[in-house]
Amino acid sequence: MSLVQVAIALALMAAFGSLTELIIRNRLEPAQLARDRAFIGFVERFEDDASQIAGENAANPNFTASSLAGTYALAPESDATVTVEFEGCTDSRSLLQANVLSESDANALEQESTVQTPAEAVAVNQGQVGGILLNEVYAQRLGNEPTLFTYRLSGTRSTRSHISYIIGEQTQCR
Amino acid sequence: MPLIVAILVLVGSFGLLLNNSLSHATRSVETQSPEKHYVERHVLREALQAAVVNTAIEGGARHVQMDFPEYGLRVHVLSRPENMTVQPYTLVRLWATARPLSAVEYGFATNNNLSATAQYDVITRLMSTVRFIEKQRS
Repeated sequence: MSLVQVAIALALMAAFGSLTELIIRNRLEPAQLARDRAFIGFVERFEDDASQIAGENAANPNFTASSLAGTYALAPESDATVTVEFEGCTDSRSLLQANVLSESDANALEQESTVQTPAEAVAVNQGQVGGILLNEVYAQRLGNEPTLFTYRLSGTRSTRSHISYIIGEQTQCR
Repeated sequence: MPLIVAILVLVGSFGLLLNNSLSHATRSVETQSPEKHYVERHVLREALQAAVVNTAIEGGARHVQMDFPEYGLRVHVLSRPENMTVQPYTLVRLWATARPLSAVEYGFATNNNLSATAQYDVITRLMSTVRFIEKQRS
């Protein structure tokens, strides 16, 4: 085989190879994107629903945290599923640490939080700089021994699993 | 003649290869930014929930932080009493915002314009929904 033939073969393979990859990526990427978005939406829906259910059942001794675990549809009318596993309860004290900010940074954050006091802004019509303005509603009543139910949400290929913390009661931690 | 054809085809394939990696690079950036935005919302919400539970158990602290190494974010949670004109006692106002865990390491870059607030009523033990505030930049 001459050098010219080898060069032609190489060039053709490179052209076909890159073209094929481009076509495959163009076809697959929107589907993958849609799945990622659906997973993000699922996490949000699950957290909303689980918070509501846990809040409603704060005084119910028969309610267990593991009853929220299971397999859910990724989205309504979707074949893909998300597995929700209950991983016990997490002490909030193990999650939070003392701030390590410098004093000027801490003051800057304090300043930023001061101008964003929406409830007060609604009541007295001042103190709001930027952002949105809404009346705040109460959503969840905490029980006597609040803790954080820990769930691992895993499902669609290529999206990492997500850990959700839901406020619940220590006695329902089973 | 065959040599010219070979060179032409090779040059053409370079264009395809280049186009391939370029399109991949722009797509990666485009697809990551909305995901990062939602991740930031989740971590703010989770830090606020942890802070509310902590407040309910032991009164909480004024400044706390919570790290999310898997997302490369650190959330600062500030709490302080808030007067409500409609109530005779103060509420606990919690406010959280995220910052990159490490400025050096490439990872999660926040826009630093998203914060979240929630309030906790110590007497009735009611927590409000977490609300997100996007700062408008002009």
